[in-house]
Amino acid sequence: MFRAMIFAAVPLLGTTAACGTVTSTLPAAGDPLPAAVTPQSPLPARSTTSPGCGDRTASLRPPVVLPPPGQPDSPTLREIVNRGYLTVGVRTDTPPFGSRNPDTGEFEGFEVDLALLVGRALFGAEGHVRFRAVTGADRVALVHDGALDLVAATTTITCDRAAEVDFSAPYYLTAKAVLVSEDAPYQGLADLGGRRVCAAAGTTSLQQVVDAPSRPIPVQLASPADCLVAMQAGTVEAIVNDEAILLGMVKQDPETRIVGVGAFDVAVGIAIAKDAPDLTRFVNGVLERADRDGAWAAIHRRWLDGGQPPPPPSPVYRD
Amino acid sequence: MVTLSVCLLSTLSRQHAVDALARDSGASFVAAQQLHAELSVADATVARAFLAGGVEPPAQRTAYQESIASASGRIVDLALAGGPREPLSVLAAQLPVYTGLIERARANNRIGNVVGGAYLRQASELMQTRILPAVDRLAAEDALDIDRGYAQATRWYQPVLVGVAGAAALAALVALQIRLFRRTHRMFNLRLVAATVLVVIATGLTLLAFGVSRARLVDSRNDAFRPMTVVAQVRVLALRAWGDESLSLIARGNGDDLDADARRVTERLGYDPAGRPAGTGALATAAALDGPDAPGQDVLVPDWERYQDTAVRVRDLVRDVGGFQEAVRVALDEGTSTFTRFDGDAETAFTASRERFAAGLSSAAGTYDGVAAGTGTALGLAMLLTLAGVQSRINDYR
Repeated sequence: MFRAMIFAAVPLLGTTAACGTVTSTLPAAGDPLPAAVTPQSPLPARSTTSPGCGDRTASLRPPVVLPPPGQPDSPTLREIVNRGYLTVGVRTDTPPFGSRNPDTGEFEGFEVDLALLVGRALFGAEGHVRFRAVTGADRVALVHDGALDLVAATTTITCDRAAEVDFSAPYYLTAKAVLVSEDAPYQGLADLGGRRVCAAAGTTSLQQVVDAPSRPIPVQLASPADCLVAMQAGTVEAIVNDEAILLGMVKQDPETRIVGVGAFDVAVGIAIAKDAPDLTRFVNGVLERADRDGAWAAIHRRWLDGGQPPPPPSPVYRD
Repeated sequence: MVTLSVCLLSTLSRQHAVDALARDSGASFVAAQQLHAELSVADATVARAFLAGGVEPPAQRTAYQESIASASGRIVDLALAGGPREPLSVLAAQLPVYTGLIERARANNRIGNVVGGAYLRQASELMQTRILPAVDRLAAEDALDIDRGYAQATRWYQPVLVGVAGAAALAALVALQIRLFRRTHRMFNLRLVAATVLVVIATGLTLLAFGVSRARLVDSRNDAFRPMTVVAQVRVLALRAWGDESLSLIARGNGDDLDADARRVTERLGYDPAGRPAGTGALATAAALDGPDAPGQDVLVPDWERYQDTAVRVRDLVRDVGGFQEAVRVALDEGTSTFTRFDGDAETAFTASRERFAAGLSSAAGTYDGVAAGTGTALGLAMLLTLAGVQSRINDYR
């Protein structure tokens, strides 16, 4: 009897010591890290009639003679030359103005060449311009906050923007236009009421879509190239942008065409911080010289069509 | 009778739970982890290939294709194994969309259209925000199943019930023998003694099997399941940081969100942005694990730090004027080779734990081989012997 009880107890005791239920929850270090959510900025409100700001393209008058390269004669220029490089914001996906070459990863385009011209005039040598990519949404703020010396990123000169930053004299005149599919019946924004129309965030093009009396549905994406992706996927019917940028898109997608070209009065300028008027004057001086010595025409021929370039937009100065 | 059914039912329920663990949830959890890694490899590799220019390096193209092919196969396997419908249908629907975007990106890139970059960005966003979270949901569901399977295979009351039932049967048999002894004054009834021995053996065998199987389950959890999940997570995080680096270089200074994501990921791995270890984080956890596969896990720390040094250098170079080309060169050269080495070692460590996990589960399941049949026979025999023993005593008085 006793022995039998011990017999039964030994394995019983042996296992009760180790018979707790086992769990196997995941260790905390194995938890997945969810992707970051990028907040979508709200659509701009419809424009109200603004009081205007006089001639918004009027810029600061350049010095009669530009300082010789490497010998700056004013505080901002001295700071840049001492730093050793000029910082310029350009776009990565708006050929022919600014784009990233897929083979080399380097920036190229009309605006890149203009910035190199400024760099050469300032330093007297190549290799002193540091580019970084900007988007429609952040380009003005980057100059305003002093993160960049110049932004040459197809920025339309507007009264709102001119209140935040200074602009150089316009280096290009373009028109707003609409890109649609080759076989689409639309002739302009007026036909696109109730349709989805794409523009890049933070651009005057997006404002134009919002303001259109035909009431299209505005779709804002981070960049014009994202709009082209959306149109190729069929999720938007049209893209609004500068005519010259839309020409760059037609080159990438021959199944599209440009309609509804507006007046060629959209002035594009280089944005410069308000506390660097000497830099604005210097840039205007470089632009004037480029007009005189044919550098502007050469850049125009290189990036836009190659035919006989029109005269550059004539500068207006407000002193 | 009661003892027989208690022993049999407990054994069968545990055997079933361990089998299900080994065959279904364990296997499918492992498959989900592998799927996550393969998709991350595909996404990071294709970004790196874009960095190289219009014509991708053949090795990276092959790596991308192989990852996508095995990921697709794994989705089929998971569906065949009866995985949850929702995440699997997201995967089945979105992976072709992803590869479609990549092919468009590739075609545009090849003819020099900058819209290719936008396609690549969109594809990567689809991967990070929809496809990989679906894999995570799949793995999370399997992890719950595994937890449940472990609990079912090790219910605390089963050994107690078996022990109590066995003890009760023993007590009854002993009491019966004492009564018979008092009535008949015969010392031993051989049949009843044999029945008693059989009950002891059957109960002991069942409890022993429970104990051994439980110990094997605990071992496979500590030595294999946990290291496997941590290493898998380390690998996935690292691949994400590597992909972010490529995409940020492609974005040419406009990759603040990518840089922020890379920082978040590096922090999770256990490093600050300058590459100094914080002492906590997934990689530190992996290195702190001890167990039979510890050497394979320990090597991940120096591996990662070697890669991270190049990543820090790339970030510094990008800040220099004209440093971009050099940064890309470093990233494509040392960056890729050090990362490939890390990734290979991480895969090896994962495979070691994965195999140990599978082996541990199948050996835990193997513990029960023949136990149900053995105890069933022994207890049935004991029952017959008891009846026969009592009958022979009754016959004595006829």
